Amino acid sequence: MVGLNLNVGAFFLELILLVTGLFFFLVDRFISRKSYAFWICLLLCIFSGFIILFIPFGEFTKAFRNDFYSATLKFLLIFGFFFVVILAKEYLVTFRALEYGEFYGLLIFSLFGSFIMLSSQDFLTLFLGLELTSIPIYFLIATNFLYQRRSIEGAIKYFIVGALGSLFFILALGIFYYLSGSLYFDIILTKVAQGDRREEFLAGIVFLLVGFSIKLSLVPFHMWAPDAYEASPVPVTAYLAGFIKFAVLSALIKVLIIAFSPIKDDVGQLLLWVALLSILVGSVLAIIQENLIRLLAYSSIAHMGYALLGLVSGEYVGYGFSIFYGFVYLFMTLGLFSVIIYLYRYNRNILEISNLAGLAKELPLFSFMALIFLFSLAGIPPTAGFMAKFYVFVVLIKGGFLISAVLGLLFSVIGAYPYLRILKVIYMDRPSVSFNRGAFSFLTYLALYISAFLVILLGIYPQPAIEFIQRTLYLYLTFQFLHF
Amino acid sequence: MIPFEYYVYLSLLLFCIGLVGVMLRRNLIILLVSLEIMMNALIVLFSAISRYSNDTTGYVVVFFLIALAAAEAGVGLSLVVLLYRSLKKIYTEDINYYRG
Repeated sequence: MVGLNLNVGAFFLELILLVTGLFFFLVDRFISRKSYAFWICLLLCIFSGFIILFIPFGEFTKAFRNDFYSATLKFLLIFGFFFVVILAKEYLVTFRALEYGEFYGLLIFSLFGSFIMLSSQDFLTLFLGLELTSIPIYFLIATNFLYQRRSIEGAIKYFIVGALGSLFFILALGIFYYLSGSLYFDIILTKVAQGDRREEFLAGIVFLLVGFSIKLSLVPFHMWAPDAYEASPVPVTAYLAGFIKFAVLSALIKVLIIAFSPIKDDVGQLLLWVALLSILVGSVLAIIQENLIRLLAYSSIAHMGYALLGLVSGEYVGYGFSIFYGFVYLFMTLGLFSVIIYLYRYNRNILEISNLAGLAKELPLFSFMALIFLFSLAGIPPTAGFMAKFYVFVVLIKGGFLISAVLGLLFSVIGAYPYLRILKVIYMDRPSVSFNRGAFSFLTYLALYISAFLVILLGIYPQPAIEFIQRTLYLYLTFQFLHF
Repeated sequence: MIPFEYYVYLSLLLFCIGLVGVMLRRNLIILLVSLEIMMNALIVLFSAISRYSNDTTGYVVVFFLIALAAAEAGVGLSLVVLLYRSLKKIYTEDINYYRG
């Protein structure tokens, strides 16, 4: 019997999140001023952002471990979640029928699931975290039926596809369990490193990647994304597009590092075509969209393709650049969605692109912010989107995938068109509808300015952020592998 | 004693039946039932591996999967009931509002 390490300190942050989420579900019925939930959420974000720096590294049973990688990624995720909460508040001020404590409670449960996913040490915990990340979102999408009755259709589509994805994930777990006799990452790593049964492990990895790519909406499994995005309330769309993609991508990178690093080159070969096809399909289908949210959904498919390009060459540096891409993408989407929420509160028809005409004359500041974020999504210097793409392509070319890099660059030229079309409508077209200006709370300006600042800063001077992420990966790998 | 392969064949057969059901059936309730069949196929797979390798991990996974199947049935049924009550739709080809 191996001694179990019951270090509750490592598990402390997740306990706080769980208790807060349950608290909302318990007491929300008895409190009439619903804005209390927002302030609790905001305090929780700030508190956990601080406390995450002091939480000891350690194991809670063999399934859960707080280490360099998970602590860093949790910090970045909390940073994004802070903005998601602000966006949700700004949205719920107008759409009051949704303003319940449970709205924030479900968001917190989803955050809790992504934390479990990032700290997991075996495939079962990883899978349960993945499910906990996505199950609250089905409900959050369906809540929108109060304003848009069709949105349940989007929720059901997402639910069916997500359930199929998790079933394929469990099938992969069954294959790994049969091949290695365990579900722990380290035992699977030693079995993979022994080298026999490589093909069988790769077959399992294919099913695992099916599960992951359904959650990341990569190309053969991308059909749910535009429907679910259009159906959900706008802050939940921001959460789905930026936050969940980033969390699932980091979990995938963690699995590739600590369970399958001996065969990571072959996994990269599997991912190459998926990534290129995602970029192509996302870029081409975004051109014909008339709805802003659907356009952003296709753009998120394409951007996840770019982020996966960092995994193709199978070098740890590329993994770091993939995480950097996910981080940059998180802030680009959150910033753009805060602009969209501002417009959407005063004009419900704004989501059609043609209705944005002449926005620059009425609201010059917000148009300029939209310009920054759209330039960043298109990958135009001096914005963060350009630097993120640049690093990913550098790793790809150094790994010897020259033709793929050229193809990716060509597709990114196609992908720039939809964003520039929005800018053309905003800046050059004649106004068709009038916009009435409304108040916007201080916190939302804060979210908008901070994301714009980050997008510009990471575009001009990305060195500290890159070094931070790469050094985390380096330390993590050192502690993971050198004690053998 | 029944050989291990038979359990794997049974599990794969059930999994394919469920997959075909998800792909082809039109009724949403039947579709949820097909998802449950796939889940049960995986439960059979895990318990068979556990039985034949004398390892308890698979049984633990089975308990988690049973709980997860219940949770997924709860989510799916509540969504389907909401869909039926608000839009009077129960067939998959009626769910056609979002496209493109």
